[in-house]
Amino acid sequence: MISKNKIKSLLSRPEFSALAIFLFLLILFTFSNDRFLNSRNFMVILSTYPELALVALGITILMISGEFDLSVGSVFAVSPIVTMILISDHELHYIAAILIGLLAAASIGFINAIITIKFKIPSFIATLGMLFMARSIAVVISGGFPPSVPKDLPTEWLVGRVDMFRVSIFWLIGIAIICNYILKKTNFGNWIFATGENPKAAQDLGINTFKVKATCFVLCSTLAGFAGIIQSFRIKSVITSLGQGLELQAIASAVVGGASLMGGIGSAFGALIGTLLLSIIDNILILSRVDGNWFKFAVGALIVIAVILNTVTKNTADKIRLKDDE
Amino acid sequence: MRLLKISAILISMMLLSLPANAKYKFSVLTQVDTSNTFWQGIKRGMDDACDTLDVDCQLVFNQENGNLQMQLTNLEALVEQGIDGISLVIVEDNMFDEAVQKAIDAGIPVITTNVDDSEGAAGNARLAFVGQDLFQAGYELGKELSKQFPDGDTHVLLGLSAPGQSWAEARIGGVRKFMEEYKAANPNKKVTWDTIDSGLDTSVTGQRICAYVQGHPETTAYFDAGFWGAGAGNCLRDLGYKPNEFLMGMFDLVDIVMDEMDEGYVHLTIDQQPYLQGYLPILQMYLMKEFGLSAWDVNTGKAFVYPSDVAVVRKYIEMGVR
Repeated sequence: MISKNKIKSLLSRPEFSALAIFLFLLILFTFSNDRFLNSRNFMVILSTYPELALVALGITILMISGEFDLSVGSVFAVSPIVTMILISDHELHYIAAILIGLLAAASIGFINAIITIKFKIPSFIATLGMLFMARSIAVVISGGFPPSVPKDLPTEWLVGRVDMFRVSIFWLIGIAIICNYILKKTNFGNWIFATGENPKAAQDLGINTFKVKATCFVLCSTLAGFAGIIQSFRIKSVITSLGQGLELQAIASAVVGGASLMGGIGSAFGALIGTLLLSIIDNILILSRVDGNWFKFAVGALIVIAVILNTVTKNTADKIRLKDDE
Repeated sequence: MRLLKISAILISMMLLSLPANAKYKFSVLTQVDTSNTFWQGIKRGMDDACDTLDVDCQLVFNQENGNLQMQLTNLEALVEQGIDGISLVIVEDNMFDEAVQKAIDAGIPVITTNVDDSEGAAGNARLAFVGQDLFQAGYELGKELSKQFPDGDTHVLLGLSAPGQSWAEARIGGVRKFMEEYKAANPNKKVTWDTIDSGLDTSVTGQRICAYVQGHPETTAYFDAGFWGAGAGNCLRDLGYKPNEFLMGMFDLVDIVMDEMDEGYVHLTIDQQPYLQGYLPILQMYLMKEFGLSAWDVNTGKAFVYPSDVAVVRKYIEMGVR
């Protein structure tokens, strides 16, 4: 017999709804389409998954701290463009170029933090401005025509193939484990949740909420930049429109994965599940030959259903606690 | 305070970078934002024409990609401002009719570029169109690539990059029309096709094509309304497809398309010569203003580019003119 506490604990997990929907759809799609559950299809899904999930992971952590970032799609383009310009035009070693590309992304995150926190401007506005500025920077520094990815550039360590997986999936798993550890097992993780849930109370407890949020902004941008570099290495091409619209997709993944726009709720695992859910929805629409005009409807419906389910499970968990208290 | 100083310096630099008073001021309006690679080619053509003719030009990109109301507002502002000539994209048949008519009535020449009202001169007061006949180009793409269709049944995937947008609908409509004719001409073959929302991102489009192909291995070929389908080369290799085993045809000349042609995963692309779409409207408007000449339609092309042409074409791509 499962105790009430265990049920409450399960329902309280932010990723519970996403996981439930994921398992439901996995079973539904497996029986409805014999081409869905096979290694070739999952190879296709998993090829882009790490890039999307890394961005969603960064957004989720930032959302837990009570902020969010609309500029990730533009940062996703800036970082690989900076990297490729340094490699192709300035003949810099690719590792140094990547590090500078990531530094550029981190700098954008830091600027977002300064504008949001020091000037007390909502992150929606600050990062909306940065969305445009960063995209413009990507076009200006490349003159509209970013350099090609050199054919002899070593990319195996980042996007090489290992059986049905790409190496990037292992980078994602490693980074997700570290993020999960930080969120669940460290003081800093507690500070992130506390800052997101009630920043005033967190400050009263002596938490430096500026440092917490600034770190989350920098982490979010850096992960977006890294994801952009992975994608450009994988498709061996950089274009200035890289990552366009990705910000909404990443926020959708985070929300479907259980992160709250109000802050204080979310998990690294939820970000991974949320992204996977959106990816398989897209995949099954293709496999099922659904009319192209219905694509966005399905994704929109999923977001609404997931959020409703999140609210219902949270309320159910709260009621269980109330009964225990009685 | 320091931030204010930096802002002031940046604004001053931007203002100083504007050209000095020129004889004519022309504007080009598009519905896309600055990150569109294809439009950088049009901009290059416009810039070269403006330098040559010594006129003041501005390409007005949209802040939000595809926001037509924003484009219309920009157009109305320019008409009110009393500019000397306007070149613009019309991807929606009715929305721009009134504003264009107002411009023409005010003596401002208007030439459409890249995408025209689907009814042409009958649907809008614009004076001429410089661009590709999108429907015809789609038809020709289908017809040309069909020469490489293998024997046996044919199942084709059509990638409608932006459902509802006239340029994508017209191109894929053209391919579809050809496929209908191809089906009628080959009664002994089973000829079928599907259309998907393939998206406007190389990575997304690539993944969608590969998901479809692995689920429907009978698929013979893929047609894209733009260039984004080239993103499928990577995952087709992952799926074990050998070069030239799966046919792909698309539009425009960008690096990734050229790369995949080299690799044997893109077999045909149509160049609509964006440089001319930027250059010629400026030239025409200049001639109209300077010598009272009239505007004329230009079909900038249905130029087929095959893998064997890549080496030659690359040289011009690097120059930013193709």
